[in-house]
Amino acid sequence: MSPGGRTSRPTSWQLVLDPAACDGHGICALLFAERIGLDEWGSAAVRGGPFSGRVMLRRARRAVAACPAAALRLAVVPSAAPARPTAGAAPAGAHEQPQ
Amino acid sequence: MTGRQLIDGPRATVARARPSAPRSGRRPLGRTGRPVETALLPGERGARLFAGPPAAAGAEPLAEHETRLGPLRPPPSPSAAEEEHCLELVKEAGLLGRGGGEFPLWWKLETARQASLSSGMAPIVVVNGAEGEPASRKDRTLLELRPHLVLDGAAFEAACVGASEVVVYLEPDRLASVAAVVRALEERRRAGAPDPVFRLEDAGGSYVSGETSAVVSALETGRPLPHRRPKPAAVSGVSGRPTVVSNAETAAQAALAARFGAGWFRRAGSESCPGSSLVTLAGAVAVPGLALEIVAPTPGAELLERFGGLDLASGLPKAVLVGGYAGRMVSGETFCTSHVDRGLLRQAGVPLGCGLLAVLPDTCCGLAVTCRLLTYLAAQSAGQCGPCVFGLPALVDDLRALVDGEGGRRTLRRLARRAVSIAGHGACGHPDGAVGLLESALALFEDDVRAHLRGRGCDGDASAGWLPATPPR
Repeated sequence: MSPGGRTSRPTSWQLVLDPAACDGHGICALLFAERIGLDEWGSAAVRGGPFSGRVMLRRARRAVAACPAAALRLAVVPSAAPARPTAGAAPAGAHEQPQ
Repeated sequence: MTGRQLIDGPRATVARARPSAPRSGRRPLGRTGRPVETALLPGERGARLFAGPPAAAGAEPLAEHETRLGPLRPPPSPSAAEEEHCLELVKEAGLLGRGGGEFPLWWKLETARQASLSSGMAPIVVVNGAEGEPASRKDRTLLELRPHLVLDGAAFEAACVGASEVVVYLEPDRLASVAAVVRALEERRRAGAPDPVFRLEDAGGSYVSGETSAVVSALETGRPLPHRRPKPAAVSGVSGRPTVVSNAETAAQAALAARFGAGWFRRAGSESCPGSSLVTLAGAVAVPGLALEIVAPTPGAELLERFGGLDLASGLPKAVLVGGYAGRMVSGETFCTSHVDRGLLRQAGVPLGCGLLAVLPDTCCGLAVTCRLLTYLAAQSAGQCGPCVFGLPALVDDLRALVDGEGGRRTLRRLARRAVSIAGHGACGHPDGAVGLLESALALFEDDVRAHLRGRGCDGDASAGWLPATPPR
């Protein structure tokens, strides 16, 4: 697939962070401040929603590549989220994966 | 052969021994016009999971179990049609997980089955008996008293997904429940039950070891560390195999639904969470750690008076902690006037979670108790993610300062800000649970907070005696 949209539909992307892998180097937040912030203790936190556009994608790629802990991943936002159930009886607001 | 025919016992016996359950909703009336009890101890009339001999009789032997309920025999080589029939039954029953997440069991089963069909990898079923909540007792009580019901449920789940391997995930230090399971497995082996292969595994002894991804990690590496996985365990779990992790109570509930059908199953509980629920009554009550079965919405006041030994006329408890140490604080008044039921409580924003109902006495300081619980939760972090490793201790420090009368409004504001920055940023729900406890406590114990802000310290933490804050082992 071509990066940033030679496809017919505009693709949007999001960053996926593995908080268990993040060591708080903070490089990602410098490279892609639009979507990555650091908390009080230096751990990365993804903020904001999906993004699109060549410039944003380039910054995101750079941030992903620069992470020494390989804690970041770039993911295509699926156009339709796969059906996750609520329940057999469909009660509203059933929780996501159990804790 | 259909799933219904999986019950190949004398139907009359099954019908006679069928535990009766009141319809959901209002307090049901019995045939004599007297209200039917809706919260039951093991062996009491009307119980479902706890039907059978009383707690003093110990683990129910296989012979007694099968005479009472009829044998549940998954066919040796289930066909696709049978698997689908079983799945349909679980879906109709609307059984939600009883470990805390309240995730629908049918989805896990269906997903694991599909994943196994498409990937060709053998699925695996895990019965989760880790019960890492220090004050919770319902899972180990169930394993100690009705091991065969849990194993039946696991065998049924295995039949649903076509698994030939079942892991029973237990804390080895809990000798009573381990002994009950080991003895039950031996009985089944001798009786020649066409069971899947059962295997016992060490749950690793930490607060988070029961979390689904931690279970998977424990089975892979021997260390129960939660992970943020790209795919759910039901798709890709232990060594990439589709893995169904369900709580011990969930498995037992499935065993009953498989025997008596979805219609019967839905007659207990409420519409949004069918089936009965086990709860643990803990804290400042007569017998901390008493496990009860709730078959229909039951007023909180009744639970506290009948089973907690509290005299509510002379004063209400200060609060009740609902859903585990990472649950929510509810005022004594609210708890007494509301109905305890999984579905209703979730709708009220106070999920029953692991089923813990811990009573805080009127004499305690809510803030001090919360600080103690939060300290425990912070110490029980798996130590992987920044928000948990640094964030939770920071929350504890701030809260400790408030409790000691050394914090002011600034501390309180920082506490709130930090809580927001931590929630949702870990690999598992551990920090979120801790933050939920803190936020509900700060909102509920406003008076205690105000007293502490004026610089008055606390007259000691009274919770040490009645709320354990030690690791499960």
